[in-house]
Amino acid sequence: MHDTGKRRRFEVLARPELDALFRTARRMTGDAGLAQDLVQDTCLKAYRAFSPDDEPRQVRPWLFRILINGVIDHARHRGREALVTRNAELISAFQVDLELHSRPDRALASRETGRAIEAALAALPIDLRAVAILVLVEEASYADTATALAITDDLVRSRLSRARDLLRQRLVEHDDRVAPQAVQHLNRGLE
Amino acid sequence: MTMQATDTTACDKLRMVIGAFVDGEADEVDANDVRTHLRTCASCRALAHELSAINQSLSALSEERAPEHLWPGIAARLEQADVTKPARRVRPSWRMAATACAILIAAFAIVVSMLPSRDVVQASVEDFITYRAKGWTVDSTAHDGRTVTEWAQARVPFAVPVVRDRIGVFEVGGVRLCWLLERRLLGVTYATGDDRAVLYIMEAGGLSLPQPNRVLGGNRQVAVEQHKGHGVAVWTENDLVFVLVAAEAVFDRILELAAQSMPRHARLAVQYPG
Repeated sequence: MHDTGKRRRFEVLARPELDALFRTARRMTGDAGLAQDLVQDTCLKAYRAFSPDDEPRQVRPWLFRILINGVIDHARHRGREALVTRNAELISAFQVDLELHSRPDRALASRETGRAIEAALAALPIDLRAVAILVLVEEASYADTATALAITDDLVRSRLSRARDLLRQRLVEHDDRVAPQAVQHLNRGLE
Repeated sequence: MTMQATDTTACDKLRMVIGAFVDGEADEVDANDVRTHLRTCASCRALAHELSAINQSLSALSEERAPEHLWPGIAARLEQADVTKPARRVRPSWRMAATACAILIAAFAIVVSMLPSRDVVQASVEDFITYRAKGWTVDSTAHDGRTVTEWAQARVPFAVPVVRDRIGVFEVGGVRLCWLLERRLLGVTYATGDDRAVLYIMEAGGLSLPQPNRVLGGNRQVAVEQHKGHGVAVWTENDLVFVLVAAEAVFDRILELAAQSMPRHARLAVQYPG
């Protein structure tokens, strides 16, 4: 009964994070199969240390912390630079899973933009990529991102700033092909 | 703070704040400064537009879903993790015992609260049992302490003590990265024949540790306990906790050997210069 209750409680808190965990792992590694393994390991490790009394608010950044540690461990084991290069090569040709690209009403420019963004994201150094994914894709707060990555808020801000600079540089290189989409974005108001 | 539109220093200072503003993370003072500055600085306004556009594009990437079979697979592993734990107390099967049970539970809670904390002991033994059930898989296989130490040092936030090649006849076989007690820790595996033991190494911060009850190696204060058919030895050195776990049939033997060769806490750079 106790274990069932604990599993039920863990599922209530952890399962809603599954999509975000998988997306993050896939974008960090460029490998959907590996991402599934990492997410499974993350959940198992978290469950072992989990208490039903844990503060629900802290479960999400905690899960991401375990996941990111697992991703970084894997990257170090396989060679960080090789992983970044492989990521960029994969993502530049990878777009099948994204719903964004399956919408028939999307213009070619939008698909190119999406592909360029994925490639730019994949080409970021792993420490910047983690921040960019958590804040810009998963819309985590700076505080939760800092907790997930075991860094300070200031470091989140500085890494995010550097990540954005690199993303902007990469996206500028695709200006000619994504111009229609870029113009549409630039004309949008701030608020 | 008033900013001039053409003041590049002001633009540089606000550059990172503009990012936080676009993300909704700027505090009220910074947000007001940014709004004021953007009214008169076309360059920073263009930057804010770009950052907002990037945010929009990247947030659209969150539409992707995990495979449908992912959670069922996870649920099965969680259930398996619980199955490896021995069954706990048996509930009474008649209503008349309800009051008696309540009294027993209350008494048990009082007694438990008076005992030294067993968190480290319980968590380590349970991980050891699960680890054994999974077939003694390691994250890094190595048969010398130096390789284990170097591998581990790159993966944990604390200074890894020099790992011994052997504890008597027990030879190091590899190391696992574990997540227990809300921290990253190492599990160094030692084996001789079919007998295995694991030495867990972790930061001591925030842990409630059992009281030492033996002296080993001449002057090492160690807490030796039994839990779920396993022997557990716990000791501290500097800011680290060491927990040696083995099945009862093996424990006394390896504990004595460990006492003769307690790992020394020394920075890797000192032990292996260059």
